[in-house]
Amino acid sequence: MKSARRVLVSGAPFIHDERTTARDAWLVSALLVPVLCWEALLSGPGIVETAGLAIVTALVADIVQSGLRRRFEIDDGSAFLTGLLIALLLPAGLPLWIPPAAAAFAVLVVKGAFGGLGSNWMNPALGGLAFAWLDWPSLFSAALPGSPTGGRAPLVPGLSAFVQTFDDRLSAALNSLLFQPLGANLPSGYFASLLGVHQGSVPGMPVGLVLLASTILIGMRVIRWQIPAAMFAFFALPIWIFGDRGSGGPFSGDVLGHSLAGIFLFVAFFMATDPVTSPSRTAKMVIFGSGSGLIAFAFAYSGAPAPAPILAVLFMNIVMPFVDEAGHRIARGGRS
Amino acid sequence: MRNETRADIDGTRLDPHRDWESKSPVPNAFLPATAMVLLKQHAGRPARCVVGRGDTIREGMVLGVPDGEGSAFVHSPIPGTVRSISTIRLPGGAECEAVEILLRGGFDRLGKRPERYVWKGMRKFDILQALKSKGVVETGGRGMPLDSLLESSARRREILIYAIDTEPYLRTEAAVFASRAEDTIEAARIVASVIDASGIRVLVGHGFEASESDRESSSRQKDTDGLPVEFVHTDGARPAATRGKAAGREGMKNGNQLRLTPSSLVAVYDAVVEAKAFVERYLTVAGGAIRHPSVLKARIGTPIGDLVEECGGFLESPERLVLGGPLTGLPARDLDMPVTKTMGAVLALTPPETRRGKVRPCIRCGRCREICPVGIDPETIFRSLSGGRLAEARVEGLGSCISCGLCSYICPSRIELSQSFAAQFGAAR
Repeated sequence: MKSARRVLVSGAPFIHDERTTARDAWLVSALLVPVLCWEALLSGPGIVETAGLAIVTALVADIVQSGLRRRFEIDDGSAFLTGLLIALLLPAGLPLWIPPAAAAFAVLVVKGAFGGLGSNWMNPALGGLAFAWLDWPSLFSAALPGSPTGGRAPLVPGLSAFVQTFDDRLSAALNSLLFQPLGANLPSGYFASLLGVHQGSVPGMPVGLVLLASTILIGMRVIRWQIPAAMFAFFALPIWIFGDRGSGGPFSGDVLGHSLAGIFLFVAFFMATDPVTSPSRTAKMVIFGSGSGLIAFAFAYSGAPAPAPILAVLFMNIVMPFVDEAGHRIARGGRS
Repeated sequence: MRNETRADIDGTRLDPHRDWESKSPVPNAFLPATAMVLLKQHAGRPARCVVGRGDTIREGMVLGVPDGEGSAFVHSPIPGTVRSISTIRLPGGAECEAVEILLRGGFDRLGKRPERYVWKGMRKFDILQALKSKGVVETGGRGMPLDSLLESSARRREILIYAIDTEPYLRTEAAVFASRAEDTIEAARIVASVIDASGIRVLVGHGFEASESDRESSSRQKDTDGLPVEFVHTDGARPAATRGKAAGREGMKNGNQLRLTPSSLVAVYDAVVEAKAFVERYLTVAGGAIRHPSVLKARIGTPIGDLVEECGGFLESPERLVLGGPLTGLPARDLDMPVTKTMGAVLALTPPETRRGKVRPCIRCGRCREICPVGIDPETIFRSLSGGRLAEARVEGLGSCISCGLCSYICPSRIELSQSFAAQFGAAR
């Protein structure tokens, strides 16, 4: 019989769930790596450079900010994830000092100033992005795909064109087989959007991969579906009601087009679901999500300088504690 | 008898040996060469020692007499001589006097035909006296003496036999009920006659399928002159659930039920019908480090190391030794700890089971609130407590905490939620 001399003797419970804060953060990061790789194939290795710079800066900044409080928590994965999220949301073709600037602001100011992970008053990655975007709007608009300086040579030349052709053919086939007999018409571009090839001047995301990763995370109960669902509903509904700006009448907005293009779904699934800065009770999750969706629509409709979803979720991050407090007051019957 | 119990919490699979089966009848563990009998194995003060060093002891002889409310008689589990009376440190930090008995001489009862007393003619007082003089206490929790428990339960209308185990790994109660269902129900009748209860309900788990129908019919036949016995099945969604808000769903009426486990009830049976002192108990020996997990019937005072050895020893060196369930038990320092009346299990857990981790800041994920069986919000209470706002924590429901340990189990930041609440009660058990 082996000896049991070196057993631990702290109190119950003696067993724990397999999920840990760090495991969740690393898991999200791992699921985002395919997204990063696909982007690199599609639009060039710039995104990898961006990610490298943002992640290294975030990690160094985290050592600084947690070191100031004498507790190093770099292994919790949150700084790495912050850097990665920033890199994925920045348009390609920015000057190379922007990603580190955004990451440093995110970790040092947004995360560090109020006591690190767990005390965040807004999602650090979103904070860093908004900071960079609002400070240097001209650099960002210059870097957007479709603009002359935007984009770089893709790793696989012709991949975008291939995706585009694939989309055209699939849409055409579906139209002739399914939609035309029903009297409908599917515009081309949706399938390309799923694979990250977008028309027009929005920074794109391979929405298909994003949705796949989100589904896995929801299945593993790392993120909850309620917030993205509410956010989508209250973003899509006004788009459909008010229609596209300048074209089309009411009740005709291109809901799918607007949701698939750009970063809306990515922000909804990966940023709005950050547990530290979002509520966890169902009613509050619905308030949080629908508020984010509505504000995202409002910013998008009015043509805000930074991408609407980022500003919307940031805004709700900041307002939610006040909504909470109001809820408590109502629950206590109006007494403060 | 297969008695697979609640090995899942919140969808997470636990217990690497979840396929093991307890034997029926439950095998007796080997007799210990020396028994270390604690003088406090019950809720109240330690029993007063009435033997001295060198005394010759017979099986079932009184070693300690009750000292005030909640205290109970302690008997000798084996015949022999008192080698020493010493003070040992218990898990949880308290100290306790213990009588060490060296096995010697013949047994008066072991291996002999059991006596049978007809309890139906006995007066309530005599039954209570029998329970008291035989040192019968609740076999779980704090170990309330059964006689005081029954005296304070006079208004309970129904006896609820809790024939399921409420934590992963544990098979004790299901195994006891599987091998001694008749005795258990008979003991429930004894208890019912004392407190004038008018019904018996048995809560059984999944595993209770094989012989269930014939047992139900047999008990119904016998009930022509007795109390109605009703069987309730529980799917056991998660441990401790039936202690809290899920109780209503399973037909539990909290206010007027007296809840007793089969292992407590067979002790009642042994004391009243067979006039046997409470000197042996059923317990689970399990965990990833145990080669052959089993349910055993062991003498009080047996070192847990003997039981581990009887179960094939360790497969690997355990990270933790636990006395009791993995969620509410006590940590053991070594293998010399003796079996007590309230010890339902000995677990030897390995790192993949304990899954310890660095304590990190709360990320407000809300999982503790979702899993809490009494519906309080551990996160908010913890915040209030760490801010030193005890009154606020009370308003938020600190007092409703049943120390089931689930919040600490689920916390991804490994925050010691239930531990800090228990510390507030001063119930460092």
